[in-house]
Amino acid sequence: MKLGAAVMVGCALWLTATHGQAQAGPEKTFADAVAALERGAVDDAIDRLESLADSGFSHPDASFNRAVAYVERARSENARPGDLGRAVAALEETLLARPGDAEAEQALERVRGEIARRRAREGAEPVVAKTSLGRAVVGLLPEAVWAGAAALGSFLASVGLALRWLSESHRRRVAASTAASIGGALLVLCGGLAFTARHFRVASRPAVVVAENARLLDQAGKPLVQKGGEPEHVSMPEGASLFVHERSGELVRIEWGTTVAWVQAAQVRPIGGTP
Amino acid sequence: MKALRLVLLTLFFLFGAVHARAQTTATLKTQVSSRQVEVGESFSLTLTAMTDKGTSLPQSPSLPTPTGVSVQGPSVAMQQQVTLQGGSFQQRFGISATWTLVAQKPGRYRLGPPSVSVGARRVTGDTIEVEVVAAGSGTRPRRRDPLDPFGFGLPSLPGFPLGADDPPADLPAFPEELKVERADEPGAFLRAVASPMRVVMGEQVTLKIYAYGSRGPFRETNTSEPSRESFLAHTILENSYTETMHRVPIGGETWYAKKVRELALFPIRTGKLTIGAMRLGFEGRGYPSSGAHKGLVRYSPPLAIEVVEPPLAGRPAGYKTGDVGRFALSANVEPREITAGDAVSVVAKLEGTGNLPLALKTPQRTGTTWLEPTTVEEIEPRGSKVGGWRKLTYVVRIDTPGEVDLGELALPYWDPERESYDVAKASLGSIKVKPGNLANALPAKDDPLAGALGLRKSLGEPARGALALSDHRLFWLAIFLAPLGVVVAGAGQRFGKRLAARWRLKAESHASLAQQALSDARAALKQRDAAAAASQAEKAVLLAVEGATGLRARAVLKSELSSRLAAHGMGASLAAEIVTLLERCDDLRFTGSSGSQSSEDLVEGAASIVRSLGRTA
Repeated sequence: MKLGAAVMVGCALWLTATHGQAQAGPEKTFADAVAALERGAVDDAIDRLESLADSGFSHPDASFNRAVAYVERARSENARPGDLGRAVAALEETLLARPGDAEAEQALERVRGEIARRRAREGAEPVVAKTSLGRAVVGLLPEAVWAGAAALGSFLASVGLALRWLSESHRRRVAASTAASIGGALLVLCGGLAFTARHFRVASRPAVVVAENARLLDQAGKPLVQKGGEPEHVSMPEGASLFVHERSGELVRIEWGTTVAWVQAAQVRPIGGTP
Repeated sequence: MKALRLVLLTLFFLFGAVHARAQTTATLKTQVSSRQVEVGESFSLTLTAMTDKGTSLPQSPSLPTPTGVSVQGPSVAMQQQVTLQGGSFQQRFGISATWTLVAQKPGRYRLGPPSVSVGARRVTGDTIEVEVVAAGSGTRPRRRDPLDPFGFGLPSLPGFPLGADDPPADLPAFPEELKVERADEPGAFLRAVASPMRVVMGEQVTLKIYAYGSRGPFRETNTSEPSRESFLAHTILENSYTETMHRVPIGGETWYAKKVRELALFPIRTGKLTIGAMRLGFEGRGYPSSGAHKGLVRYSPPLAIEVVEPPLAGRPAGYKTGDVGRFALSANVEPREITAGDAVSVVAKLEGTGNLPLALKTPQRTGTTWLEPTTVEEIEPRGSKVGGWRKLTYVVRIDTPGEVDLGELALPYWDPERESYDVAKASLGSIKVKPGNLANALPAKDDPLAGALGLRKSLGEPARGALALSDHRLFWLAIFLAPLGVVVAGAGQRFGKRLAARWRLKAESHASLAQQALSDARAALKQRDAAAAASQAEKAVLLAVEGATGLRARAVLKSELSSRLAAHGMGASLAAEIVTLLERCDDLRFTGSSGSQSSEDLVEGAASIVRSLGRTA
């Protein structure tokens, strides 16, 4: 009896210790990265935060500190091409996980401003990619709002139709018909937008350019050549936001504004993981 | 005059600089198979010329030879070299030209220098001196085929007791690696072996290619190297001229075999990577050539190597994919005492086997700056493994006074033999930094990003996974089926009501007509018209039957009526009652009598049946 109790206590202690260790893993790495950043070991901090991301750990504050590390390296003599782009990717990741993070929003604006300033210093024109109409309309509200509005439309239409059948009074029937019509329209419109938003989310992943200049390619890997103003762009600047559709070998098919092309996979970083 | 001299001097230096630069772009290596040969013995001289990618390829190789030495060739093979330098791949292309030489007289001969054209220039290799001694007096033991005393590569003579058909049991020992079960092609074939076939990115794959010929000894000619774009390559065996030919039994015959290439390949990306085919011409008597110096051409089979990333589990921070092998790291720091703003030298020595990384992760500290290292290395094949050492010398400037701990150099790597990660480390110790003049420190730049992001010292609220309603099929079914369900339910209800009303109407109409017929029957009774009363009573019953069952009883024979009514779900007694009543009606109408009952009873009987049928309906 005593032996059994001792075994059970031992098992419980082992389980607690294992659980504690598993919990402490990412937090310890995060703390080590913070310590490395505080003593100026930027590369070390980047390595730790990147390995944290590689292990599947996702946290807006870890992403934010990764942006801090990349910005610090971009400011140092050890700056590497694409550091500011990687900082943009990390900040976008922070905002995706925590949309209301004002500090991240401001930081993103400043980093993008610095990229634009550096490009201007090198004589490059500012590049603005027009958002496609579909993404612009769908992007007016979050997907959950479109889905909620569609559900509301469905409810209104159902109640309106039911009342129209059940009601004897003419006034009530008119009111029920009006409600059903409004609900039906809401259902079709918002349901369609929710479906499109879901399709965009499932079929593509947001990403950021992490090279100084990402050349747009065709599927065979040949650089696109502009003829008569087509295509609109032949390269993407560092920090540009885009969507990745698929990967084929070393190339990924991307959608940048209204431009659809291929780029080297290493030049873009999908937000929230590797491609 | 002074100005002219100055211009001439400048042009001279410019020309010299350009010439020197051009010289450095081409690398030439001259090799000879043997420094001492006998008269009549063939030997080879190989010139390897490599140039940087983007510059002209070496071409038109030539070899001046003294009189008394006959020359054949050259056989030219393309060469490609990929090296990783400063984090980027550098490719060099070139050729290797091999001449086969035979000296006719003893003496010392100066061969070359061999040369190639690179662009508009002619670049020369080294002159090689070879001593030719009288036949049979050479100090180097020669292996000769018993049937080919002059080393000319005589064909085997089938059936001859000492020829190629000798029983395999008499053959001298040969390396196990040459053993094969069967010949892939008749006459000659190439065999490529890569080991291992599944590796992690950066792990060494050893490629060996063997040549087999059944028609006697052979030389390689007209070769093309196997393509290996996805690998860094170290050559272990560059050509087969120095390799010993062995006789190997294959399928009951004696073949001549030797290793022709050995390469250490390091994959630089993941996936199914292909090592291309190698072409080799078998040159020798008995090997039919498809052209001048082309030989009997054979290709090695291409190989596919599966390359994966090492596991994520247990991966140390800072591990760079491709750092694979087994390494040791040591470091020396000098001096240990400086003034702030001065620099120390850190010499790190990385030793081991595998793909030695070109850079190390340096420990960063605020106030210390590590400059780019200078590198010295000695990396070469050690047996079948590539290894050696690489020394990286860093200059580290320290601006912060006090006891500065430099930290440690670290190299995380994957050890394929132990199948685990490890970290090679070298502690650098601390430096005593005296306060000094920091006037040389860089002035602060205009930095718009200064203070743009404040470090977050702890993890806040984790992100909550947003509820994606649209990911659930039930959501889409619910929002579209709910209004549709209401419409269907409403329409169904209306349809049901209409149907019921129609049935009711139909049933009611038969009942009312039946009642009307009964009234007419009673009226006929009052007028003493028994036949008319019977006719109306019959009509009432028939209408009631149709209303209750849908059966048009008038069209049915009386003899069958009972069974038809039963088939429509009517009780047997009622059916019998109806049949009896209808027969009595017939009797009354046609004969004027209805048995013992009176006409009134008949009409009342009909009324009773109509009531019964009305309840049934």
